[in-house]
Amino acid sequence: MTSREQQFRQGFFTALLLFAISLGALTAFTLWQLRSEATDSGLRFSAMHSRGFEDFLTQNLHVTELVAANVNVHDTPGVRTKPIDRHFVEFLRRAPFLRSMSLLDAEGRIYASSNPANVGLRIGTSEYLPPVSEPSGILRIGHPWEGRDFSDGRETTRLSPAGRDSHSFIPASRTMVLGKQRLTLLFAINPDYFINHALHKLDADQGSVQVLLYDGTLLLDTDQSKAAGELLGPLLERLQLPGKESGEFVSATPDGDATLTSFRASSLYPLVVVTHLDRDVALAQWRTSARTLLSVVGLVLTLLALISIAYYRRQMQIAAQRSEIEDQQRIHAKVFESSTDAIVITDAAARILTVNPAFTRISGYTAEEAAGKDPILLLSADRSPDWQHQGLWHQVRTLGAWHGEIVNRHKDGSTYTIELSLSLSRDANGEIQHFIGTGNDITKRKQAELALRREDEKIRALLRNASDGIHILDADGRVIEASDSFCSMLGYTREEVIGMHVSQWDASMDSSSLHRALQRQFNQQGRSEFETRHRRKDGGVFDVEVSGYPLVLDGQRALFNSSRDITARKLAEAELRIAATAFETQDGIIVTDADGDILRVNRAFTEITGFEPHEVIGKNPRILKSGRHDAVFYAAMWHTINSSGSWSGEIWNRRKQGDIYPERLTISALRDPGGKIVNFVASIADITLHKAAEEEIRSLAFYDPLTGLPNRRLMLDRLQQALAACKRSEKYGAILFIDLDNFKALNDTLGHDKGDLLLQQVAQRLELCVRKGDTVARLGGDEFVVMLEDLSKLPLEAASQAETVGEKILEMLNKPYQLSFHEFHNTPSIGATLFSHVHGELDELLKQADIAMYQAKKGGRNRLQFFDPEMQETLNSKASMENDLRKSLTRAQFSLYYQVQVDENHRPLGAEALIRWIHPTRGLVAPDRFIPLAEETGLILPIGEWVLENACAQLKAWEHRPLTRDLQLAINVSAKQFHQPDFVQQVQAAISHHAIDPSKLKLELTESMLLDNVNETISTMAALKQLGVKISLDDFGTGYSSLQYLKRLPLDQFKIDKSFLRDLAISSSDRAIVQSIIAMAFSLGLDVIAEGVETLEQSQFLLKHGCVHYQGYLFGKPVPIAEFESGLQQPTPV
Amino acid sequence: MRIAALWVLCALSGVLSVSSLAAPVSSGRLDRVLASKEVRVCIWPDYYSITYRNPKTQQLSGIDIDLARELGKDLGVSVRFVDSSFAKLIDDVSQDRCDVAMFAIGITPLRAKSLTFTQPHLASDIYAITSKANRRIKHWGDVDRAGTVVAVAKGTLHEPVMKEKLKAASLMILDTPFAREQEVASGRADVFMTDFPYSQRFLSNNDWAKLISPPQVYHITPYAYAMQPGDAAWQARLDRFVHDIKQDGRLMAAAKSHGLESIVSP
Repeated sequence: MTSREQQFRQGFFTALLLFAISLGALTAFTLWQLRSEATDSGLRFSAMHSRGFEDFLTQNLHVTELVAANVNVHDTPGVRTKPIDRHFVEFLRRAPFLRSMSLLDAEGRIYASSNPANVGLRIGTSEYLPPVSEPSGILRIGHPWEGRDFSDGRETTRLSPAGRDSHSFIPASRTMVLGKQRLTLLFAINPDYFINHALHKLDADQGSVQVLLYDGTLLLDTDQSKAAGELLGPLLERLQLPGKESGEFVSATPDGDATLTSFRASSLYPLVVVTHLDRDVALAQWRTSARTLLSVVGLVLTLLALISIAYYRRQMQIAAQRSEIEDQQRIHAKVFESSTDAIVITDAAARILTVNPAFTRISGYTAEEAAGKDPILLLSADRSPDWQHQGLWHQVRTLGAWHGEIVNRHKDGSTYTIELSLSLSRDANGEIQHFIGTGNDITKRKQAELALRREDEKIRALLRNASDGIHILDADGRVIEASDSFCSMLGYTREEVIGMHVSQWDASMDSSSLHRALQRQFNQQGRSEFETRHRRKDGGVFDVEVSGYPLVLDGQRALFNSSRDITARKLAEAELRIAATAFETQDGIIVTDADGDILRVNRAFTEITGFEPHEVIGKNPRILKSGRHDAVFYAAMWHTINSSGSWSGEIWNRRKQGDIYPERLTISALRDPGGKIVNFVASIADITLHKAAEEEIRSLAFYDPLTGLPNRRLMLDRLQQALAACKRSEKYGAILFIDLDNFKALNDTLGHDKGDLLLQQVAQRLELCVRKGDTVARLGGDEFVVMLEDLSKLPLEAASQAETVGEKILEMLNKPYQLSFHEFHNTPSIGATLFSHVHGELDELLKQADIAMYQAKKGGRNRLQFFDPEMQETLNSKASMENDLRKSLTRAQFSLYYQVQVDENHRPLGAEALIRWIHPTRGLVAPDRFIPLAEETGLILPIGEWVLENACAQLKAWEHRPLTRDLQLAINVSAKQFHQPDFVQQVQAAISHHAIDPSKLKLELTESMLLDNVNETISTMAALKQLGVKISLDDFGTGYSSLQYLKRLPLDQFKIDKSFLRDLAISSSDRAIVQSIIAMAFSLGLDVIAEGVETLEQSQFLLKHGCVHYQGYLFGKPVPIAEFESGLQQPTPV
Repeated sequence: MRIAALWVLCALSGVLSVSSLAAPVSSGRLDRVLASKEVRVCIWPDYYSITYRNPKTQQLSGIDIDLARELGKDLGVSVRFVDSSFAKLIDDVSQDRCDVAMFAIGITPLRAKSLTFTQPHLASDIYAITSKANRRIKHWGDVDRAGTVVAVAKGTLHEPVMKEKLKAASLMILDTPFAREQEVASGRADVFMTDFPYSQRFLSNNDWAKLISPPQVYHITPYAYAMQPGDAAWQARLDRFVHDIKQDGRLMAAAKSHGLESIVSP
C-alpha cells in the first residue's frame, strides 16, 4: 500500500468514527431529554389523577354533608320513626357512595338508621377528624371499620387494620344542633364506590390511588394488597401535611420499583388523595420511542458504514488501477525508447507525432526532424507516393493492419529494406486516432538470404540430377533434403518426402533395429553401407542398397544417404536359388543334352529309380525302359516333344532292381535363343501308390464295399443318365425295387455275418439276371435296385420285358442259399415301375418303385408288383386318415351308436354298440372305412379299450332305470385286441371299475380270429367266461369252423351273418344255411341271433325255424344313445 | 353438559305447554287481536337486551321488542307495549292487561301454574354481578358463603332458584327498579343474580361491575313467551310464530343484533 493510500485510509476512518460518535452523542442526549420529559409528564399525569380523585371525593362527601344538612328531624331520640328511615333509604338509592345513614342520639346511640340492624348500637365519634372542642356542623371522618356496616363491623386500629378480603367502610359524622337538641348523623361511606371510580380512571397495573386521613391512616386503596386502617407513616412524612396541599415526587416502593407519586389534600375535609403511577408504565412510551430511535440510528449508522466502505474500496481500487496504468506507461515508454525496431506514431492524418531512437538510427532522421512530417519523406525514389496510398494505406484503414517489407531511403540517401508493421489505434468512438508503424532494418538479412538461396540452388541442381536416391536425414531420421531420384524411387513428391521419417519407407526393419542402424551410421567414421528394403507410396516394396556418411549441418548431426535400387540384382539371385532348390524336389529330374545323354539327375531320381548319379550321367535314359511300351509309343512321344516342346503322360519304367512301376513323366525341350534344342529336362514322379489310392477312392465313392455293386450314388447317377438317354431314344426303361423278405429275422437269428453273405450272394445272382448294360445297385440294407434300359418304345411291351426280368429275379432269389454250413431259403418282394422320356423324375421313380414293392409285400411277399397310380392315391389317403385317426381319440371324435336286439315279441333284449367316427371335416366315417386301418396301425387297441370302457359306463347308467336295467350290451372285439396278453385283465378292470353285472356285457368275436393258436384262444375265452361275460360268435357262417372245433369253444351265442339274410327270399342255399346254423346252435345248446333283419318275411322265416332273437333295420337302426333310449319308451312299430 | 341440560329443559317446557293445551278454551283471543288490529305485549323495560327502555331516549330495544314487532307484522296488527315486570307478570297476564308477555320469561314451575308458555326461544344460565372493588367475591365459589348478601329481583326466576340453592349466603329480594344494582354498587349486597342477556348488557354499561360465571352449568332456564292459559288457538298461533322465527332465521338475526346468539334455543 502506498503512503497516499494509507493517508487516505486514515483520514477516511477518522471521519467515519467522528461522525458515528457525534451521532451517538446526539442520540443519547435526545433519549435523556425524552426520558426526563416522560417522567415530568408522568408526574403531571399523576397529579392530574390526584386532582380528579380529590374533586370526586370531596364533592361526594360534600353531597353527603348537604344531605345531612337537609335531614328533617322531627323525631325524638329514642323513638324510632319510620319516616326518617324511609327518607334515608330513599336517599341511599341515589347515593351509592353511602352504605348506610343513621341518626345518633346525644349519647351516641343509633336510634334511626337506613339499616334497621344498626339501631341501638353505640358509636363513638369523638376521635373523628378534624378534632373539635365542641359540637359543630362539620363533617368529621373516623378511622375505617371492617365489615359491611356498623351492625356487623368493628372499628380498625393501626395495630389491627381491616382484613384484606373483608369489606370495610369509612364512618363519618355530622352533628346538628337544633335548638337544644343535638343530633349526630352517622354515615357509613362505601369505599368501593371510590375505588371503582379510581379503577375506572386508572388501571390497577398502571398505578394505585390511596386516600389517607390526615393522621396517616389508610382509608381506601385501589391496591387490594393494602388494608384499610393501616398507618402509612413514611408517606405521611413525605407529604408534609398540612403545610403542603399538593405536590409530586418520584418515590421508591419497598420492592425497588419507582413510582411517580402525586398527592392532593381535599379542599374541605381532612383527607389526602395519593396517586402512585408506576414509573415503568409511565416510561413505556419513552422506551418504545427510544427503541425506535436507536434502531433508526443503528440502521443509519450501518448503512453509512456500508456505503463508506464501498466508497473506500472503490477509491482504493481506482488508486490501484491508476498506479498500474502509470507502471504500464513507464514500461511502454521504456520499450519505446529501447526498442531496436523503429517506431513511428502519427496522427490521424498520418503526420508524424513521435519517433523512437531506433527510428533515428535506421532512417537518419531525429525526432525533431521527423515531427509533423509525412512519412513520405522516407520514400525511396523508385516508388511513387501513389503506390503507398493505393495499397498500404487502404489495407491499414480497412483491415486495421499492414505487414510487409518496403525499401526506404536513408537521410544520407542510401536505401535500406525495412520489415514494416503498420497498425492503427482508434479512440473510444471508433475514430482513427493514430497510425503506429514499427520497422526493423532487414537489409543485412536480405543480403544473407540472397546468398543462401544461391547456394541452395546449386545444391538443388546436384540433387536433381543425381541418379541414386540421395536423401539427407537429421538426427531423428527425418528427411531434410532429398534428390528427385529419391522422390521418384519412393513415388512421393518432394514436398511429401521432406519431413518424412525413415521408418515410413523402410520396409525391412522394425523401429528399434532401424534406430540402431541409423546410430551405427552416425557413429561410423566415413562411409557406411547396408542393404534394406524401401516401401513406395503405392505399397510396393523393393530392395535397395544404402550407402551414406555422417555430416554436420548447421551444427546438427545429419546423414547423407544414397539409396540404390537393387531389385533386379536380387531377383536374379533369388531365381538362382529357386532353381537350385526346385531341382531338389520330390520329383525325379533328368537333364540331358540335345542328344539325350544325361547331364544331371537329382536326389529324387536316385530315390525313385535306384540309380546313383554316377551310374547314369553320360548314359541315355532308355536304360529305364520297362519294355511295356512299343516303339510307336516312343515315336509319338518324341514327335510331340519336337513339335510342341514338351510331353506329359504316364509311363511304365523299370527300376535299377528291375521292378516295373508307373510314373508320371514330363519332358520339356529347352532351346537356345536361336530355337535350337540344347537340353531336355524330364521330370518323373512314381505314381504306384497314387494309382492304388485312386482306385480305392473311386470304388468307395460309387460302389458298395460289401457286394461291389454300384451304390445309391452311382445308381442315381446312372439313372439320371438313363433318363437323359430315354429322352433321346424314346425308349422305356424300368426300375425294379427289390427287398428281401424277412431279412431282419435272418440277421437276428443267424447273425450279421450270415446276413452279409446272403447279400453278397443275392448281388451275384442279380447280376446274372440282367443284361450287360443294365445296372444292379445296392441301396443299403437288404434293398437292391435293378435298372433296365433300352426296353421297348411301347409301354405294354416294356412292362412285359421288365416283368420277364422280374420273374427271373424271383426265380433266382427263390433258390436256396448256402451260407457257410447252412442252407437258407429266402424270397424277395419286387416293386417295378417304368420310366420313359415322358415321365420320370428321379426321386419320384424310386418312390413309385418303393410303393410297388410295399404293395408286393402287402400282397403276400415273394412277388412282383407294378406301380399303379391309384394305389398311390389310396396310400396317400390312408396316410392322412391314419393321421386323423391318431388324433381322434384325444379329440373325442368317437361315439357309440346302439342298435336294438329284440325277441319274437319285439321286446328289447339289449343292443349292439357300434362305433362311429364323427370327423370334423369328413363327417360320419363308417367303421368299415377306418376299422381296417385301425387294425393295421394298432390303433384298434386304444379304440377297443375306449369302446369297452364306454359300454361298461353305459351299462352302469342303465342299471338305474327299470326300463333299461335288464338290457344286454354287445361290443365287437377285434383280433388284435383279443390276442393281447392282458385282454382278460382289461375286461375285468373295466367291469370292476364300473361295478356292473358282467352277464350284461356281451363280447362279439369273429370266427376267423379264433382260428389262430386254438389253445390259447380257448383259454382266453374260458377266462372271460369265468368273469361272467357273455361271448357271441359274430358273422357266424362265413368262416370255415368245424363243428368239432366250435364245440370246444365256450360260446353263448351264434350271430347269423346278415349276408345270409339278404337273399333269404331268393336263395334256397342261404335258407338251408340259416336253418342249419339255427339247428347247430340248438344242438350246441347256444342262443342264436340274426342280424340284418330288414323285412317281416325274414323275421317270420327265422321265427318259423326257431330263431327268436333279431337285430336289424326292421327293429331299429344304430342310433345315438338318447334316441335309442327314447325308442325304448314306445312300442316297436312292427 | 350445558347443552344437554338445555335440551332436557326444553323438553320439559314442551311437556308443560302441551299439558296446558288441555285447559278449557275461553274466548278467541286471536280473533279479538285481529279484530282490534292491535296486540298488547307485556314487557319489562329494565331488561337489558330483551326489552329495555333507554331512560335517556325512552326508546325500546331488545330482542323481544324486535320479535314482538315481527309478531305484529305476522298478525297484520299494530303492537302496543305494556310495561310489566317479573313481579307483576302473572297479574298482568291473568288480568288481561296484555295479550302476551314477551320478555324472555323463564319457564319456572311456579309460573307454569298460572301461565301458558310458547315453545322456548332462548335459554340462559344464572350469572352473578359484583363490584370490581368487592374484596370478598372473586369466584363463583365465593358467593354462597356466610356473610355474603345475594340480591335478586322479586318475581324473577332467580328468586325461587336462589332461595333453594343458597346455603350460607343471605338472600336479598328486591322489588324496586334497579334496586339490585344499587345494593351491589353501594356494597350493601355483594352480588346480584341475573341471566345472560341482562349481564352482558349491564357489564357493557357499568364500569364498576364484574361478572362472576358459574364454572359449570348452574341452572339453565328456557325462556319463552307467556299468555293466559286456555286459548288453544292463540297458543297455537304464538307457537307457530316461534316456530316460524326459528325456521326463517328472524330469531337468529334478532339474537345476533343483540349479542344473544349463544343462548338461542334450538
